[in-house]
Amino acid sequence: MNLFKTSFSVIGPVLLAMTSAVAAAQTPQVASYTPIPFTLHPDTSNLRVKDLDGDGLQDLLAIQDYTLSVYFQRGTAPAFDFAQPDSVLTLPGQAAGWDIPDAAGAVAGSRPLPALIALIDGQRVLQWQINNRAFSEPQELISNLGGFLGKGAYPLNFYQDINNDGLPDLVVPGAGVMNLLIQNADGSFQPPLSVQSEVQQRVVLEADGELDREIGQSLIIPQISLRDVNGDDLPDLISDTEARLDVFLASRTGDYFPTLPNYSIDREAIRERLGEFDLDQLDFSNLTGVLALTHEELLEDMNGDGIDDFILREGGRVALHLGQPGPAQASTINLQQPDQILRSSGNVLSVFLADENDDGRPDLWLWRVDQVSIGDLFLWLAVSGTINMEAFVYPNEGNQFARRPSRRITVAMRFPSVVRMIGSVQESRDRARSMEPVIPFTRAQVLPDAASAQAAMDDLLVLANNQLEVFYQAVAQEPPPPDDRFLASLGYRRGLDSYEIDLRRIVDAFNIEVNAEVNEVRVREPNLRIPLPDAAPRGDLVATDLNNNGVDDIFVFISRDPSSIKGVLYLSD
Amino acid sequence: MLSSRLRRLLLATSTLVLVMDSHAQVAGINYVATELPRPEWPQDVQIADMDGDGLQDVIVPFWSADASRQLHIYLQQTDQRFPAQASRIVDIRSEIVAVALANVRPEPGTELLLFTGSTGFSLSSAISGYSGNLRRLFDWPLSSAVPNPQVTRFLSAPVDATGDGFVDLLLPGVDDYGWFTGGPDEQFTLRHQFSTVNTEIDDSDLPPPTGRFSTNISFNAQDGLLVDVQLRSGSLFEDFLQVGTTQSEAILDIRNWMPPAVMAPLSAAGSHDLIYLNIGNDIQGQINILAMNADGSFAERPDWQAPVEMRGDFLMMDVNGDGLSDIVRLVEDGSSWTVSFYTNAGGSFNFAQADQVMRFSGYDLRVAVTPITGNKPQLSISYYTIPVVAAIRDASIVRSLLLFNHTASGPALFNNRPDFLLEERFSASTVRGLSSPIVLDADLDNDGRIDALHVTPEGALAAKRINSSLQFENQPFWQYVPTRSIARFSVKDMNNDGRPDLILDHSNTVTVLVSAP
Repeated sequence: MNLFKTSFSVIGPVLLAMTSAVAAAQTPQVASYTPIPFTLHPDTSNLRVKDLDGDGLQDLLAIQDYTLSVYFQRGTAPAFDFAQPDSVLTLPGQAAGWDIPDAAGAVAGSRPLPALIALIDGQRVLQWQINNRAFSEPQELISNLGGFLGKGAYPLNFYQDINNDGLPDLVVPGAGVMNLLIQNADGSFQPPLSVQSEVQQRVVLEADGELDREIGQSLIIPQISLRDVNGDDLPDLISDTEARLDVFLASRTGDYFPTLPNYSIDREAIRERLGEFDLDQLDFSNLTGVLALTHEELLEDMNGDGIDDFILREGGRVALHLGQPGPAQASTINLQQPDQILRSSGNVLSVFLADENDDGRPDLWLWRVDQVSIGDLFLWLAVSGTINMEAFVYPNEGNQFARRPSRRITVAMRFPSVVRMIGSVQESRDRARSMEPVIPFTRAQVLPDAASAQAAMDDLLVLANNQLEVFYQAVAQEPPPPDDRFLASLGYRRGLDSYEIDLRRIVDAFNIEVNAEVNEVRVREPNLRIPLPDAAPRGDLVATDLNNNGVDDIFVFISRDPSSIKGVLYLSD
Repeated sequence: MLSSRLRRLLLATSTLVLVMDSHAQVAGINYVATELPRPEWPQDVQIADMDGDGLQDVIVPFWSADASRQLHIYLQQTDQRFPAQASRIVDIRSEIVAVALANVRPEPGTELLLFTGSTGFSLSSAISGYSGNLRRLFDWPLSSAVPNPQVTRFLSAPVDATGDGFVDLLLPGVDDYGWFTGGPDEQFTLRHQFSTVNTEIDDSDLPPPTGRFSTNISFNAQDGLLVDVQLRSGSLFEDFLQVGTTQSEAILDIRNWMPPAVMAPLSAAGSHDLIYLNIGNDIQGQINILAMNADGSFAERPDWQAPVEMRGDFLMMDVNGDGLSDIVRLVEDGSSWTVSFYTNAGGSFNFAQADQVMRFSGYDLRVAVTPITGNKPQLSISYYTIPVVAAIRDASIVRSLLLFNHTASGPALFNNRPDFLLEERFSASTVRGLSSPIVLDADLDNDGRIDALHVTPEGALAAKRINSSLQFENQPFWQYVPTRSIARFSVKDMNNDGRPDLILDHSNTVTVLVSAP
C-alpha cells in the first residue's frame, strides 16, 4: 500500500518514488497522504495553524505585516485551495496587536468568540467573525483604553480568560503597567485594573560610533501570574516586579479584583533596610559577603492549609509569615509580625521549599556559599578552582520550620581557570564553524496504528538530498521528565550528602554533535523516499495533525525567494 | 517619610572646596569638588548648560516609587560649586521613551527634547510643569516605543549639522532613520528617510550560516545545573509554522534590530555625513556613505559604497589628523587581535588594502588615537595579559599600554614598534588601580601635551606628564585623593575655561571637579 498518493499532473516525481519505495520487512498499516503544493506571498513572515471557523479542522493563517490571509480547510477534497486566500484582512491603525481565541467561533457566555481580535493603537479593540469563509466587518468591542504599542503589527496574547469564568478578558499593555479588564456576563467590561508589569526590555538607540552594533529593541512582556493563593478556588492575581510584589485576591461578587492589592511587599523598602551596594563597603576578603544585601520573597503554602504563606529572606534572616484564613478577600498575611524567624550565619545565597523527608510537607532549604576573596579571583584567572555550597534543610513542623537543620548537603563546584575557559569557548566556536550542516528532521506519527502497535516509537522524517525520507517507528518516544524531579543533574539522593559539579569536565566534554538522531536512524534504508518537486537546500519540514485524524500531516517548505514561498503539504486522508 | 535614596541624595550633596597642588611647578591647578548623587547604574549623569550662563550643569536621572521618573538638575554656580539640592526638578511622564538635550528655544539655556514612541516634544526646565511649556514638534515612530518605567534614556546631544544655527536630529525609527533639520520657532522638517537595511536582497540570497548554536546555562531546583545547547540550522523556515495561538508564553515578544547609521565627517573636515554597514547585493559586507549636500539634504541612494569583510568591530576615528573620520577594524581571535587602519580619502576607502595592520596578543584590547604632543595623533593600545607563572606566584594580571608615534614619512600611519610601553602588574592588594584604564584625554597642566590620567593602586586619581618622546614621567605631578572609591572617570570642560574638568563616578555618587582660578 502506498503511503503517499498523488495527482500525477501535479507531482509526477512523487508517484515515481512510490513505486520504488523500499518496503519495510514488516509493513505496518499506513495512512495515505495527498500532496498539496502551495505558493505563498514572499513577504509572509509565518504561517499559523488555527481553527478559525470552529469546524474542527485546522485552518492556515498567512501573516504579512498588517495583512492576514486565511486558507480554510474543507472537509472535502481539495482540503486546501492555495490558489488564493479565502479571505484577507488588513489591520487598521499604526500599531496593531492581534490575537486569535483558543476556541474561535465557539460560544462564550451568550456570544460567539471572534476569529480574530486586535488592539489598535493601544486605544480600541476590534474583533472579526468568520461568515461564509470570510472575515466580517470589524466590530468595536471597547475603546479609549489608554494603552500603547509600538508601530507595527504583531501577535499580542491579550485576550484571555483571567478569572476562569469562560469569558475572555483583556490584558492591555500600558506604560510599565498592564491594564486588566474583566468581562462581565453581559459582555461589558469591568473598570480597568492597572497592575505593575515586569517588562524585559533591551533598547539600543545609538551606536556610539561603532558601525557593527545594532540598534533597536527587544521587548518581552511576560504572561501575568494567576493562581489561587487563598484557597477559594478563584485565580488570584500576582504582580511580581522589581519594585513590588502585589497580590490581588479575587472576589465572587462585585468587581473580580479589588483596585488595591490585598497583600503588598515593597521591595524598595526591603532594599532600603538592607542598604545599597557600595564599593567602599566591599570586603575584598569576602566578596560573597555582598549576598547580605540580597533578598527573596516566596509565596507558597508551607503548612498545607491551602493558603499561601510568605517567606522573606533578607541576607541570612528568614522570616515566615503564615497566611491567615478568612472569607474570600478577608484572608490575609500579617506582614508586620513574622510567625517565625530563622537566622543563618555565612553568605546565604538562596532559600526554597521542597519536601526533603517525604512527609508530604515542604521543608526549607537554605543555601550558603563559601567566602570568595579578591585574591581567589586573581588566582582563578590562571588556575582552576572550587567553590563550595552548602544546603541546610530545616524540616517542616506544621506551622513552622525546625529551629535547627536536620541535614547538611555540600555541593562542590569545580571550574577551570578563566584562561582555559576563554580558550575552550574559542575552540567551541572554531569547531562550530567547521561542523557539517544541520539536516532538517522531525519526529511524527505517520502510521495510524502506531498508537496501538508501537506506542513508544515515533516515526522520523528527514529532509535530505532534495527528498523526504520516512523512517517508520524509528526513534523511541522521549518520556517527559518527572514532575517531582529534584536536582536531577546532581543525581540527588536522600542518602547522599556530598555532590560535585565539575565544570572542567563539562567544558572538556562539551561537544556539539550534529545530526546525531538522524545519523543514528539513517544507518538503515528509509521506508519511503519521496522526491520533492524542487531542490530544497535550505528547506524545512514540520509535522502536525491538521485534520484531527490522529495522524500527522506534513509541511515541507522547499524554497523562499523574492518572488514566492513554495512548499508541499502532505495531508493524511 | 523620605526614601533612603532621597535621603542619600540630600546627604551626599555636600560641597567641598579642594585646592590640589601637589607640586610647586603646577601651582595653579585648582579644583572645586562637589559630590552629587549618582543615578542607578547603568544610567549616567548628563551635562548641559541648562540656564544659559555658559556653565555646564549636571542632570541626574532619578526614580522613586513615589515620584516615578524625574530629572534633577544641579545648576553650576559662578564659584564652580553645585547646590546641595537640585535647582530644578522635571518630571518625566510615563509615555516618554527617550530624552535629548538641545537648545531649541530663543530663551537662554538648553531645553529637553522628549520622545514618546510616536512624537517628539520640547520642554523647558526653567518653566515648572508641562502646562504651557510642552510643545509638540513632530511625529516620528521611534525604534523603541515602550518606555522603561524606572530608567530615563538619553540620546546624544543633537548638533547643528547644517550650519544654520539650529540643531538637527538623526532619529532611529521602526524600519528606517529620519533626518530632521531644525529651523526657527522650533520647526523641524523631515528631510530624508533612509533604511540601513539592504532591501534589494532577500534572506534566501544569503549563504546558509554555519556553526550557529546557542547555549543556555541555568540552575533550578528540579534540574540542578542545566546546560542546554540548541543547534541552529540553515533553514529559511525556522519557526515559520506556528501551531496554536501563540508561540511563546509571553503576552508580547517582539524584536526589531537594524544596522546603525553614524554621523561623521567623511567627505570633508567638519562635514556631517552618514555612514552605515550592511550586506551588499554581492552578499559581502558593505560600507555605505551618504554625503550631506550643501542644503542639508542627502541623496536617495548612498554616494559611495564598497565591499568590506564583515568580521570584527568597526570604529570611527580620525587616525591621521586630517579632520576626516577614518575606520579602524578590530578582529579578535581568542587572545589574538588584528587592528586594521583604513584612511578616508575624502569620502571613500580602500578596503582591499589597509593602510596599516597591527597585531597584538591579550584580552580586552582598546584602541584610541589622541594628539598627545599637540600635532598629529598618536596611537594608544591597551590590553590585559595573564602570565600563568605570575598569576600562580602572586595572583596578578598585567595591563599593558603601548604608545605609537605617527610616522614621519612612508605609507604606514604609526611606527611599527611602540615608542612607549607601560606594563603594570595588578594583584588583590592593588585592585583599585584596575577600576579605570589610563585616560589620554586631558592636558591638566596646560603645557600643550596630553597628560596620562590614571587611578593609582591606592585609589587616587593621578596625572603624569608625557614628554615629546611619548615617555611617561615616573612620578605624577598631580594627584587627587577621593573620599570614595573611583569606579570610572571622564573628562569634560564644565566652566568653559578651556581647562579639563573631571567627573568621578563612585558607587552611588559622582564627584565633579571643576577647575578654579
